[in-house]
Amino acid sequence: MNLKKTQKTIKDLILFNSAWKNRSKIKNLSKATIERIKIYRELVRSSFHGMSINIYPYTYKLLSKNWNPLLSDFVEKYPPSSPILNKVVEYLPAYLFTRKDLLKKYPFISELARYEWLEVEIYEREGEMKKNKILSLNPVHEICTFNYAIPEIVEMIENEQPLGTIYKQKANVLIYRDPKDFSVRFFELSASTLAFIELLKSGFSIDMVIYFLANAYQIDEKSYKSFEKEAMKLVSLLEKSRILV
Amino acid sequence: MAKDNAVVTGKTFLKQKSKLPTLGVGLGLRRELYSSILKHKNQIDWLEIAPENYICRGGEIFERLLSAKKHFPIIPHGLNLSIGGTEPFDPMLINNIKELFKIINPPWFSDHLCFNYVEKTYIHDLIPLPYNKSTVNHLVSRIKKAEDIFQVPFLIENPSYYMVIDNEMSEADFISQIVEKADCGLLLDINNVYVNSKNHKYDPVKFLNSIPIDRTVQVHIAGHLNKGKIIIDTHGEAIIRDVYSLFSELMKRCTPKAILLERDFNFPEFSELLSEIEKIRNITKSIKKAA
Repeated sequence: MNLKKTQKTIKDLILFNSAWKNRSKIKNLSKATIERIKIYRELVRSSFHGMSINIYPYTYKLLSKNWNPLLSDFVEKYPPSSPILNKVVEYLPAYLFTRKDLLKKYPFISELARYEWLEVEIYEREGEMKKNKILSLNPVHEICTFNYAIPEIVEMIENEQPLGTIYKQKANVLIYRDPKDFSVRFFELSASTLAFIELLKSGFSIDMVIYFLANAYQIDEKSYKSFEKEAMKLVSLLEKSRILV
Repeated sequence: MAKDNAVVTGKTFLKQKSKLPTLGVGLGLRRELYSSILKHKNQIDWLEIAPENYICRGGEIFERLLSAKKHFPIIPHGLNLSIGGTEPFDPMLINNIKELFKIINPPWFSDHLCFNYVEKTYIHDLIPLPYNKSTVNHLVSRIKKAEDIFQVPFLIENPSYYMVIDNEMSEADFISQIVEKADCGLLLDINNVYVNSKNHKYDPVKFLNSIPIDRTVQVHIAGHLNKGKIIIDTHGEAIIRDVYSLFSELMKRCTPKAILLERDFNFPEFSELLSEIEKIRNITKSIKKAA
């Protein structure tokens, strides 16, 4: 018996429906063994199913009717390459982007899945908070630009509202981990708040950011003080939300 | 010559075992249980983790590990090392486990006698091996490699298995030959002995008498799901009386350093888990006393 070949055959039969469909052609395993592989197929599928609907509850709500075949096809195209279980479904958003049939019905589906995956990723991301001497951007965050109003879509799914026709509508979202309780929070960004945060990210101080934005918006000297006051209100809000720490 | 002799007689590992710490009865470190574990830390001796659940993680997961380390010895029990696999060990997994060990400083490390990593793909379950001479030799070499990499005593767990792949020897012979030739330790999962004995129709006490039981460093005891035609090792149910009886038989035959109540999901009230821990402790004490 060739151990390497045997293990490859078993792996293919467990993970891939395409291999399972052609199991009658297999010569290096007995029929009895192949029958028993069914148990492992069920165990693995059950584990992947439970984990995937935990990570993608909103995507699952929309695609639940065909979730299992979708997941099987996904695993075939993106075989699990990480020893970390939840990373089995890390590339589901990328996979959904290739599914023209699903995108026709739900053009936002890949972005919705990405939004959900980012919650897990940010929750688990390495990189701990250090005590800052000056107010700085929370290091555990991701800024995402979506072509669809994903936060609104999530709310509609949560409230079981009919989605109707969803049109493209850009949404900028900051996803970050709250250092107080480790929860993941979502903060929709206006164009000016996005610009503010991007400048902070580039390493400028709050004062410099306010100065640059005032220039960009052509705020004259007379209005500068009130612009600065408004900007500091934003800083206060970001600090309260622990986006600035 | 002396080294060969030690491997043949197995004296090196048994000497090692005598120096390992005696930990008592422990529980798995699960997010859902952690606050209760802390409230009752005087009733729990140690905690087990799957390294795969803690590597490459920050935030609450990492903080929980650091907090747990302050109060308990932490023992790692792997899921995906694929000790029976033919691929080289995954360097990403190895390197991250080694980093984790710098934090938890474990006295030993264990994984399952199975394979689950093939062509850089993880199956995420414990797949059995064919019980034959060449697989024994392959396992011996892999276990020695693992010990070289991790620099702590390595234990092999007897997994539950639901299929047989061209076996030329019994499960007991297979395990015995591997642990003796590799001169390594055993993590004896007594629920798996029960489950396998029912699924594959053998006498579980005879099984215990047929393996080098003195190499048992750690014991797992858990519940299972009886589906009628087959029993599945789920770790999601209470321990049944027959498994407790088998555990008593095991404890008459060996002195492990640590016993784990293995409960991974479907958690009852925490007081029920504490009762199971107490029962395990009482069985251990009464057998010690009788001896």
